[in-house]
Amino acid sequence: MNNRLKVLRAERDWSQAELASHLCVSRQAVNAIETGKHDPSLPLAFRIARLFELRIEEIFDDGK
Amino acid sequence: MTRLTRSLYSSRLLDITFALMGGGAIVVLAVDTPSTDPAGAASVSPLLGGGILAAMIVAVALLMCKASALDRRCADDYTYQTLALSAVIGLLTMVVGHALWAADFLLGRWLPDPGAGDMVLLALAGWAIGYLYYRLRGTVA
Repeated sequence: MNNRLKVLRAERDWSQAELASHLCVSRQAVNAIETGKHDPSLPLAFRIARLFELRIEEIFDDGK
Repeated sequence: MTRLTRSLYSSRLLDITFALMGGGAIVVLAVDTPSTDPAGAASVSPLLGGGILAAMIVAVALLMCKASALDRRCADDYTYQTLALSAVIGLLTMVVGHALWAADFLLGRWLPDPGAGDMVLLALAGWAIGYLYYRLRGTVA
């Protein structure tokens, strides 16, 4: 699944650790999501969407 | 997903498989194990021994379910998924590794029979290798 997490994080000038802190997850989790190695759970996807004030489908794209 | 894979991975088939597997394993352990070592100093009747063993298996499994739920609450979903997926690899490594090791027509002809401790080590090694694999490669299928 593709996502815009890295771009959104860069727009706010946050490090991976800062974003992880906002989302209450590990930095490794943020890195794995950004690099497409992990698809977040639905609750985490909602937390990410709320944090960036976007809809989930504006951040994540399943390519279909 | 084809019709074949849909039916192979259907919840109903898995429910039946795990019911038979779990029930069978508990019954075999409870019936066979207490009667194989009657020479123990504090040996109990096979019926009582089997009952104690079956109760212990159920209690430990339920305790592990609770411990896993605690893991899930404390770890983020990436960490938990990595741990859980690698645990499956550990379990499968133990089962398949034991089959390869113990089979007379495979490694069994050269190696001594695997002991209980060897099984635990196989599972731990498989779990660690699985963890490394999913950390490097990610959890996406």
